[in-house]
Amino acid sequence: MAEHNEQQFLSRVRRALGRSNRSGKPLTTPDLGFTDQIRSAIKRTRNRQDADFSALADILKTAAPEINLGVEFTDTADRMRSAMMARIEQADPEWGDKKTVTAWRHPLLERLELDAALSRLNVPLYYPPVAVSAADDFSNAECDEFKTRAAKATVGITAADFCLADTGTLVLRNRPDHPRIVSLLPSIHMAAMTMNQLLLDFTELYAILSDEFRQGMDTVTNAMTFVSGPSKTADIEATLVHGAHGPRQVCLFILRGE
Amino acid sequence: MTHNPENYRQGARRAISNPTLQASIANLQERLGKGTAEAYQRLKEGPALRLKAHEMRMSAIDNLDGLLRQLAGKVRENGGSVYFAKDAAAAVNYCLEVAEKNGVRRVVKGKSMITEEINLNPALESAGIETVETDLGEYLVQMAGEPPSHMIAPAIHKIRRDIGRLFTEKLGVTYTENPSELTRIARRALRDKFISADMGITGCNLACAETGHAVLVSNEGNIRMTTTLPRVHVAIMGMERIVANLFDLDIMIRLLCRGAAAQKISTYVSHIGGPRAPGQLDGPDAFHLVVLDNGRTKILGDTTFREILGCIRCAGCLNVCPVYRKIGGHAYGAAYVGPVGAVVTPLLTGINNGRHLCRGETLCGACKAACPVDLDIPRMLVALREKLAYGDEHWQVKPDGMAERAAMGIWSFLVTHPPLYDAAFRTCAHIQRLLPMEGNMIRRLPPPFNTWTRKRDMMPLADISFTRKIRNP
Repeated sequence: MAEHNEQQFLSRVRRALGRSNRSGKPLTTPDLGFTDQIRSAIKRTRNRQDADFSALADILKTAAPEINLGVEFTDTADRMRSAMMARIEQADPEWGDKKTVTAWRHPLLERLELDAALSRLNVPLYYPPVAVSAADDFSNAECDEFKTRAAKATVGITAADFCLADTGTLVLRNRPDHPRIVSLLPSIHMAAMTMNQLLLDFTELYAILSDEFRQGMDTVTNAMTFVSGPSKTADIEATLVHGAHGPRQVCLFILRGE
Repeated sequence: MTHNPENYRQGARRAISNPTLQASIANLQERLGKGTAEAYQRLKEGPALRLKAHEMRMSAIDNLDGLLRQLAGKVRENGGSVYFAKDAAAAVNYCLEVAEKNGVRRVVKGKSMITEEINLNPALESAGIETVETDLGEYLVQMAGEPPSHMIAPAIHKIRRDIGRLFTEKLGVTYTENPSELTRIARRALRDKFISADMGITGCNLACAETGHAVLVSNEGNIRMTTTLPRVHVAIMGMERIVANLFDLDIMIRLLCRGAAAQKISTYVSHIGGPRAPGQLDGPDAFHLVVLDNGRTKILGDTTFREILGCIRCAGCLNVCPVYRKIGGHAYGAAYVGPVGAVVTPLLTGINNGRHLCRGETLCGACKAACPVDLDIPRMLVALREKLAYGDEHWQVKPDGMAERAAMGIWSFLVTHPPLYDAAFRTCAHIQRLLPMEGNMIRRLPPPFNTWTRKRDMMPLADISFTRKIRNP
């Protein structure tokens, strides 16, 4: 039924386009994807040196205030942890009586040893549960429990795949251990990354994604999200208000020298 | 929502006599209209990127059969379902079936004009499903029982006092007219809805055929909530909203955000490529993509109007249109308003039915200059008027405005026969003395010309015509 439906739909489209052959012409995606512009963007991202990343950092420092994105550069993991803790101490719980934090399971975040630091502040930290094996899926109850935790959390901590300096955009890809609600439900979103994850702009990002995708990699994943600053609205008399449905604050912590 | 010439006139009259609405739209246009023009200038490729994007859109439209097949294949490969809906009823029924199969009692919705086009909300409500709009502006107009009046800023016609009163009445909160506090009230009220909803329904700004992703932009985060929290996500797209690959997506997304809100990028861009995978904790268990025709193949089949399928519904043309500025969105009486609505609505619902819409615009060209993909809306408005003047079999247009056509026929006969023209002119110059005058102007013309003088005076004919002056200096 659905199959038949689809055939009819597509043949109507073909007729409207003035094509007579029933099967339609073989699909040729116009190969705009690998123009010189893309090739040079990929090459540029691969050959970046420390000085280039510093230049990107400067661009980011200009872009971030425009979208109310906080950015802190730190030289060591210890300093990054302290910077995060300072902000967490100041944060007020919005969705529950108690201040709580939820975070991705991620190598960079593990290095920050958040557990010890947060327990000193007496703030509970919740990680997503671990699937026993790759084939082992979570039950509805497990998903719901984590959803409830994230919905009550004051702060959610993620590790961005990339940050685009030109717009202050964080690129977050959906993978096990990286639930997307951690960057969505808590009142404050903190993201960590290293300097070499800076890219200039969307063209560089999409060039990389495009290249990897064509090599057969699951590069866009089933849910890739760009986050550019805190959630906002201007629906009441065109007045800008931060904190519509998503986090009302977003802060990016960048580890230098790696 | 119905559109007809009488409602159009009444809606326009209401809007023009509403000073707050006039001020709100003027404010919106001043900021976004100008901001968008500047944002195009700041593109790294320069404003000419719009022309390249135009080609890109047209190439996608010309390859729609192949791209749609590729998209459907990819979405299914990623674990999603695809349904091709011939018309509004098919799309609505599919949504109802999915809802029924999943025992859905509450739906949260992302802002989407296409669900307005197919009138989805009333169908869900009458099936006993609570349907909650979650974009703040849409939430406000839904609560007030009104249609949206702008495609991006749906509640632009409401002022903070109305909203404060509305919240007090419907949500039982203490009155406030502070936008931050009003937003916080809505944030709290909607949060429970998001968390408890069984199904999320969104539109689809663009779909990427190469990778099989539905791409959605938002500033508030409601789209992320709607596509992440409920067990089922249904995205509905007009069949034309497709890009070939990630390279095109880069350009289209950047232009979409500039056209819509003069932003370099919206706060959130979600690329949705299927349901939750095993081992993932969030995301819907089922993802459905509905591809809607509902009159679009007919537009596709006519090369005069095919160009309008390039529209990405950013609403940039609303933010510069002098007609929209005065009459607001409600006067258009349809899901798509402003210049793009004046082309799309007649094409989707019948050119005779929408005759007032394509005739109501001024052909000033501001919409073309503001369009991120450089669509020639004025050309298509003229083409629609031509169909109305001469009739058209393909579009089943009955010639409209026969009186005007007859008048033009007489006029063209007269001007090509100078002695007759001169006689007619002199007769009229004599007769006009009988008309009521004020100062040097005619106050009223007799029927059927009286509509012209209902709102303005008319300059009388000169005693001696130009031709006579030239001949007998």
